[in-house]
Amino acid sequence: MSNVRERWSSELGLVAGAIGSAVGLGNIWLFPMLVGQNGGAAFLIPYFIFTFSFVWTGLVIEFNTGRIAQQGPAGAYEELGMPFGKYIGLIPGFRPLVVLIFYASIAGWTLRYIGAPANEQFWAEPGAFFGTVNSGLQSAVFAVLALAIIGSIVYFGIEKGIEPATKLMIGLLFILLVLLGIRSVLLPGSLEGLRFYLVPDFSKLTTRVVLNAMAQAFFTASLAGAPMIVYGSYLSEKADTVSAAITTTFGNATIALLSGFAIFPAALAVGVEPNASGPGLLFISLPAIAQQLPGSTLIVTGFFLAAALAAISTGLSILEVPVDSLKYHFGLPRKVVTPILVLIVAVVAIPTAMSSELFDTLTTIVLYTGPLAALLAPLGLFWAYDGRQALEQINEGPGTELGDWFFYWGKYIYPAGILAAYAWDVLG
Amino acid sequence: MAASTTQVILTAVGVLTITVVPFVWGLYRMVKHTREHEPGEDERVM
Repeated sequence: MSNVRERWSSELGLVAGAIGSAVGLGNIWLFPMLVGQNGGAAFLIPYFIFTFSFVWTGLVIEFNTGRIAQQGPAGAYEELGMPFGKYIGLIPGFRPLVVLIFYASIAGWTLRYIGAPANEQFWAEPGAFFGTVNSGLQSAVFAVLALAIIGSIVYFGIEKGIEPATKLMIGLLFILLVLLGIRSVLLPGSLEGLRFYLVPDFSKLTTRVVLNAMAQAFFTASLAGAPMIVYGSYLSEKADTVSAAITTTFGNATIALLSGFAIFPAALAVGVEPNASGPGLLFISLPAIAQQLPGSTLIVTGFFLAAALAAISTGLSILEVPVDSLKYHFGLPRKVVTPILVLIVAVVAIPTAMSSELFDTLTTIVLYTGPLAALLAPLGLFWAYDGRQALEQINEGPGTELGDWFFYWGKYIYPAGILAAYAWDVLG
Repeated sequence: MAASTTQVILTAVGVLTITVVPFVWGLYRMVKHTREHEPGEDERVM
């Protein structure tokens, strides 16, 4: 049977989509927060070590799980010969639906915050203002708006929807963060923030900091056994997946670093400690920092526009996974599946956006199912499929040829790293 | 002893270089491959 599978226009399309998936609020919000809570520059050392070792290799594994199987996570494991693969694939194939339910709420908050500087309460009582945004009807309305934007892009497919949208969004996000970073660094008194952010205090480099950096490195690259697999499945067999993985990894790390440049110099210049937890740093501390600076409205608007772009571009990959899964299981076209899924998610997202208890329950489910979903890619490619054959197929592309070490890395070390990172995150 | 301004600036440049250089290198390789090998219709069909 001739089966036409959608394709990226080139590997650059994949990279735009994959950076869009990886660059989310994990870069804009979580990365600066973790740097702040884990001793500043001391956190960057293990973060870079894991980025240079586990992250790009993990992306090679996930891209190729999809590319070799020519299926998203719903069908990849059956195709790779994993026992009960059809049923196992249901977990990574549909888990992103649960992620999307609460991610829609957070993406909605960022959309609401773009216009927030016009509201007096935002400046006078940022905590109380956040309370009105993250619950009740307002939260639900903006969650649905975020879903509608994500759904309308996914509806047009890979080459006409996700690829051009992520190219535009990531370009804009990059420019915004560079401008915000320059503004922050040029403030009087910014040197203290730069010292905290860049000059390591080795006494703060504890086991806890190392494990936090490891977990963040995995999470921030969307190494969750789903989005990168479905994106990889839209590549042809001649794709240069190694270069694509390296570009995605370091594009993602550059954007995380730029977020830190935008936040730390400004925060310490106005005397705000950069160690807030939860959504505090992004939604509550930022107004407190910005209101002491000239051009505060522009700074806040620019920052939340960047956050919204990051959230929407990640949302695209989260929705794309169940869209592909429904296409696989029921043979329905994208243009039927996408609106159905958006409607289903919206129905559950509305009460979730309005209730913090439901929101917390869903985030817990996502956290505890993460390890299993992420482990499936190396298990599928190096254990169920033939690991040596997988390595040969990876090297068929025109990129850098990976040596025999990658076989042992993919089969033993990478899965052990995932287990360690997620065990720490779940138990910690 | 606190790091001097020059040290901080050099560290900032170094840290950005660590991420920007591999990013640009990967991008360059992909652009090169894309120019060398435009996909044909047959490769777009599984």
